[in-house]
Amino acid sequence: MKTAKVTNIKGDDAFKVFLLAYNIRVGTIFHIDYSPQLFKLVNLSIGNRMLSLRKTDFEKIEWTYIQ
Amino acid sequence: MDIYTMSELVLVGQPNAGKTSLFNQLTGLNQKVGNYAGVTVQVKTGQFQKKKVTDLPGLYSLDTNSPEEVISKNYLLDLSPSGNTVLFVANGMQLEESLVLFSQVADLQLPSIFVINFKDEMQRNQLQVDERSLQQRLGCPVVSVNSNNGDGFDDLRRVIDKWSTHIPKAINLSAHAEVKGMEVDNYYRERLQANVSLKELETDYSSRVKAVEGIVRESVQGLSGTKYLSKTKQWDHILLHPVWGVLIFLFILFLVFQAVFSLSSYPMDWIDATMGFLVEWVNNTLPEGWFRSLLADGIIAGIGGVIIFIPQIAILFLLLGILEHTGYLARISFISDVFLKRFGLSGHSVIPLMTSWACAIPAIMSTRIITNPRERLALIFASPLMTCSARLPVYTILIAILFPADAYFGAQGFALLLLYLLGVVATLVVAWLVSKNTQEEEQNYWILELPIFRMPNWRNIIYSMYLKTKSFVVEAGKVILFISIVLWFLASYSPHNEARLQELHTQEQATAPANIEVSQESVNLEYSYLGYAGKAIEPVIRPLGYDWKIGIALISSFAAREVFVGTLATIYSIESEEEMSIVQRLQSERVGNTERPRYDWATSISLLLFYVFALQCMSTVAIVKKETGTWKYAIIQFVFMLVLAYVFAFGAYQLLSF
Ligand SMILES: Nc1nc2c(ncn2[C@@H]2O[C@H](COP(=O)(O)OP(=O)(O)O)[C@@H](O)[C@H]2O)c(=O)[nH]1
Repeated sequence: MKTAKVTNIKGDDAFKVFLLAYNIRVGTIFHIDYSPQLFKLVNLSIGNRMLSLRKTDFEKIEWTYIQ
Repeated sequence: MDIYTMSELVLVGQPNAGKTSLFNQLTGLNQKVGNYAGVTVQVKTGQFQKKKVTDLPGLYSLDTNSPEEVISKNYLLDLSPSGNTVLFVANGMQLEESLVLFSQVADLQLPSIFVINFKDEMQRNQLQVDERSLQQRLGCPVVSVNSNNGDGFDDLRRVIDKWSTHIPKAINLSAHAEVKGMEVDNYYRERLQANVSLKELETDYSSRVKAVEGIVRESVQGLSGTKYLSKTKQWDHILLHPVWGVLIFLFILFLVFQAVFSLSSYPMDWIDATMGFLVEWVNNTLPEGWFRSLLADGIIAGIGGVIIFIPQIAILFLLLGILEHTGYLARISFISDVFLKRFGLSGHSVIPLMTSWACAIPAIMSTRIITNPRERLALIFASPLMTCSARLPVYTILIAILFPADAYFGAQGFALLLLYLLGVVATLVVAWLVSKNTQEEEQNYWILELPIFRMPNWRNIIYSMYLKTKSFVVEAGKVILFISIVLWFLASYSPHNEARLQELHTQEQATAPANIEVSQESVNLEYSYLGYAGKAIEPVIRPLGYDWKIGIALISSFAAREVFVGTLATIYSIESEEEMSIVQRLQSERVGNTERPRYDWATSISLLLFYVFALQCMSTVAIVKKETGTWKYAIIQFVFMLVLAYVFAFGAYQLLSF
């Protein structure tokens, strides 16, 4: 399982504020978990919390692997 | 007097921090509800040692704008430092996230206690908190507890008693605010109510995270690199699998259905028998007169009409509670989101949708957890179209007329399945229509927290089942009882006097077919106000294949749909409410003096469709008004569903009787 880091977030300010509440912002470290294509959702774990985002929203987040 | 005398404890925390569990531990069943669908969706209050305890909806941050979180935020902003203490509940396994929220709450400068929950899981994962050091850093008492079994609650009680007046150190506010004694001139409070730029929020957030990281470094050991999530992630490979996951989901749905219907049938029979016995007892004990009639046919019938649903609803809540507390319910949301999205709904709609198989009232109340206003309205509009339990007795009778049990093997079950499917399809289509056409604001972002899998805590499940069922009884009960009494009045009183009614009875008996005995009750009903109402609407419902007798039954089922059956039994002078005797009697009923059966295919299908679509339930109308805050939606919905019902029933009758 690889670790990734948020490098940039596209989208409007409301979206960024929304993500901020879940501790998703530039610099956030996360894992991408098992997310089957069919459901069009992406599962992330940040710390000990698991979150599921719509794929279209997740695509606005730019990130790189750090490990 | 100590100005700090505490009168109210306010529970604050992130979702899934264990607030409800802690609240239950503190208050027992001594709580007032507003809580639906497992999650805390409304401000709940209870009592602990003569103090009021308030449980606020969980929130991730004070900076978000979802309706629920705003409730919590505003509640906090209205609190004053004297008399209120914030009991901040942190998930010990997510300490950093919890501390970031706590830093925001701390900046409001209210007396606080920092409660670290999930003590057991922390121990299991070798996470150690130096409470003393944390206490010093935060400037308020810190207690670790396990809200599942009550471990640590002696400490918590002691702290609440002795140490609940400490105002925590401000984490970020110190830069701007001045705290002058009791008077809080608080920049942060103002900022929360104002529109702040993203930049400012980000800066604020970063500085909080930095501060929290420092605190955690000093006071917590073993936080990074835990294997906490690994088991859950393994399970998710199966439970979220595109094939296995969907199959397991469908299987569980089937199990829930089976359990709800098979388990509830015993207590329902029992309730039915008890109510019958009560009516008989009243009729045998009290002197004849309006009071006896009101009690037996109005009040007891009305109360019976509510409690007959309790078994199904309670069992459904029990099962939903188990699904929620094990963590599986969130996976159902995950799996169904992609499908529900097409209809303007989302994975969050799963709870209201499943609940509406039992009853639309708790379903509509549970839509409070939906943060997207447009989705919520669509759900409120559409969920009464799901097949609720009050429709079942009506369906059962009509299906038995259409498909005599011995004639076509399996046809009855198949017909019922089709009706359920029709309900689901109608719900989705209407949800889609509403979300396309409403001006209600659309929230574009969607997120779902997937809690870890764990053994459920039975006490929490039973509590929430009890509280939700109670709330259903109160909400539905008052309307059903009221309508029952009104209907009793309309059915018991007549513009004619008794002598005239007896005369009419003799006349009817003389003209009735030889094999049918007309009862006086049936004639009384025919010439009652309700009977006249049935006759008055006959011209309107004739194109649907109904006569005034069905008209009376339609009107009376506005109390609750299943009243349809009882009313027909009275109209057709059927002594017993045995299903078979009603079915036989209905089958032998003819149209006027012709040989044509009254309940032929065309009329029966037309009636079935009418009951699929019509909002034949005043309690639902009342709850829609309450939840949307206006009569507008309640009336639009009622009329819309009535038109839908009429059109479908009309179409079916005209086609089939062609
Ligand atoms: N092991 C353990 N589980 C807990 C504890 N507190 C709560 N839970 C469980 O965590 C889940 C979420 O708790 P709940 O009280 O519903 O959280 P809320 O969303 O904050 O109201 C439930 O399944 C609880 O049974 C605890 O101290 N230890």
